[in-house]
Amino acid sequence: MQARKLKAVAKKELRELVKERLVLFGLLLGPLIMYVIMGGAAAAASSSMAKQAIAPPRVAIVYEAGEPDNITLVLARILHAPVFNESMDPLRLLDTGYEFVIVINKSLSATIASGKQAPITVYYKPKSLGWFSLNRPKVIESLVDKALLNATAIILKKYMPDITPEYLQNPARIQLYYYHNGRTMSQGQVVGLIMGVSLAIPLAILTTAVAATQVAAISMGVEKEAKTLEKLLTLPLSREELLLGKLFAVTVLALGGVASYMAGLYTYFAMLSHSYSSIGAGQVSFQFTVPVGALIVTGVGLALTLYASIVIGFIVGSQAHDVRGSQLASSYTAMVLAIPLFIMFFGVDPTQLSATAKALLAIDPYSLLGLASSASINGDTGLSMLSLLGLLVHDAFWTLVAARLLDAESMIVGHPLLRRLSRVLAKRRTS
Amino acid sequence: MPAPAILVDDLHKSYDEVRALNGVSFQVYEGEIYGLIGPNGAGKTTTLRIIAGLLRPDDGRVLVLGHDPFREPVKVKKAISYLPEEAGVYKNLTGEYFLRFIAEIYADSPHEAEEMVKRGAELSGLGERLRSPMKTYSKGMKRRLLLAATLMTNPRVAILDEPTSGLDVYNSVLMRNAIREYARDSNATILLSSHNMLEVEYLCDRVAFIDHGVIIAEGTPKELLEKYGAANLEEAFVKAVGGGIAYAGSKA
Ligand SMILES: Nc1ncnc2c1ncn2[C@@H]1O[C@H](COP(=O)(O)OP(=O)(O)OP(=O)(O)O)[C@@H](O)[C@H]1O
Ligand SMILES: [Mg+2]
Repeated sequence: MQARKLKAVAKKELRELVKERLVLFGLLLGPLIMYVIMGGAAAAASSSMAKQAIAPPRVAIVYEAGEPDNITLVLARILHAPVFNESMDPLRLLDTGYEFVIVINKSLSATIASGKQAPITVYYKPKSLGWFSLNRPKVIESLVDKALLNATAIILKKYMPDITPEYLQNPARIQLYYYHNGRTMSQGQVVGLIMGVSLAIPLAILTTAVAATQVAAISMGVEKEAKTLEKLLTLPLSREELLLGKLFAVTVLALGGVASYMAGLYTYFAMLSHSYSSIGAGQVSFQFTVPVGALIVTGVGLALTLYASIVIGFIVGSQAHDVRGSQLASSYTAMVLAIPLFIMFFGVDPTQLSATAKALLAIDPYSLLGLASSASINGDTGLSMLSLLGLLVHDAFWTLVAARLLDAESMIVGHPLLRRLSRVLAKRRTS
Repeated sequence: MPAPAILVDDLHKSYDEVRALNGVSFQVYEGEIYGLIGPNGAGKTTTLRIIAGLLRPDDGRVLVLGHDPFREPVKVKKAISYLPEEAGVYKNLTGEYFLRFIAEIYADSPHEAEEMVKRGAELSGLGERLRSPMKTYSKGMKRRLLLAATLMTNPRVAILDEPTSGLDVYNSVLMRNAIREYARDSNATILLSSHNMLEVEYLCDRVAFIDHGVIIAEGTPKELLEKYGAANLEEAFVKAVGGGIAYAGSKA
């Protein structure tokens, strides 16, 4: 092996690679872009979690046997909770602003005195359903445990002055129910729902939209690589006929994706529903059937998103030199477009974000679809319709951009702006 | 003199810093075969692309049958047929499918499209092979198919960028004959570029030498031979290009 020859090969390779636009944008600028966007998403996610974490729980107690007993009163003191009698519906209390409602039945004192675990039902109304809402009830569980321990100790001390609370472990068995959008769910179902909203939906959006962007970009890359574009551009076709023709073909493929997406979404929740109906949890009212309206909103939204994705793919593909270039460039574009959607993976329900954050998300068509889907599954018709409208605006916008950018000259020799940029970058590197 | 089918007037065009055209002017009359000859990088492809409406000139004017390719693109595109220099094929489609695709875009009726496809199939000389995917074609087969697709639509103006480049002698002769026959039968105007002097001498009624983005000589092959006192066009070309012409091209 000769160092001189090795150096010559390495130098040639570097020169050729560094001139490649994709290497430039992807390798050199990519990580920075990624981190900045991810940073924004993480900041939004963590601030929304932090806000919930520091908020003290608002608790109410429903005592089911007339005058509350001593243990209940001690519990109420410790939790700063008002006590209601059994005529009060715990779900109504949640609707009036309580985060937790603890239901204590009349045999609590007797059960604890006999040294057995006492069943206590807790209803929890999360502000939004996300991974965070699985942790939040722990606050109340440990408070109830502590309170019961103390209360028991106070009572027992009357009879046995020497006893210490360590003798007692977990005096309560807490049965936890989530209450969300008027439906009562077990924790397991909440996990399923969160997985659906924060994993399954964004993943399905990603795969279909990314595929659409790539198929469109590659269809341009193929024309470039096979050198068929020039002939195509001189045929007696208006630019609209050419682009709409291409768009139509890719859309037909994409609509297959929409159908499979909707069927998949429906099946996902049907499978969950089935798994829970076989367990038969008593208090649970929520059936995992996606409402038809939500399915339609999601399907229409996906179709609109795919249109924008396809047009973006054409734009990106028209600036590539060959199939490989169009593939890489479109993967990269799709990845950047997908990043904001990752906040859903954090368990942040986009419907719960501030108006500004929602508006920022709306810049990105993939995320806007995430918002539309989540809103429709959560039953927020206004927001889901607004998101669909936003997607329509996206489609119109990208069509206009394509019409402006994709003239014959830009497609054959590259858009002047992009050419100027690569020239400036190339100069900087050689000087 | 009749009105020119193609009027090219003082075209200028730069790609970033490369000045490709520096004031190209010429006229091609109806029914004429006109050859653009010049060394590599002289600006032939750039000129033809501008006439076909693919590139916008920085300055100057083009009229095809009296229409501006940028103001009335569809009118011009309907009248012309362009064979790009490095045209390729769709590898998964068959030759026949490709001809039909082109025919459907040009034709006004399904019947007319059928006629075009028939003519194209004949011109291509590919016979049964028209039914195979185009990725199985050799270079010469692809070029003949593309020329067939270009001429079968009965264009009033055909623009052919190096129609026989990369072909063997036999295929080149086939292509030249096809072009000549088409010109004779249809009275169409043909503008072609070439490096092959034999081809130009055989095909063209008039010829222009282009170098560094300007036309340096123009005339019938015979006139050019006389002008440069040359035995053949090749010699005339070398004399013209090497004759101390102002260095107007490449880097500005
Ligand atoms: N896409 C492009 N970007 C930058 N410069 C270009 C581009 N295409 C052509 N040029 C330059 O424009 C000038 C004219 O090129 P053109 O392709 O018109 O020449 P040509 O006469 O067709 O050459 P050839 O016989 O090699 O095909 C050359 O200097 C070439 O380098
Ligand atoms: Mg050329």
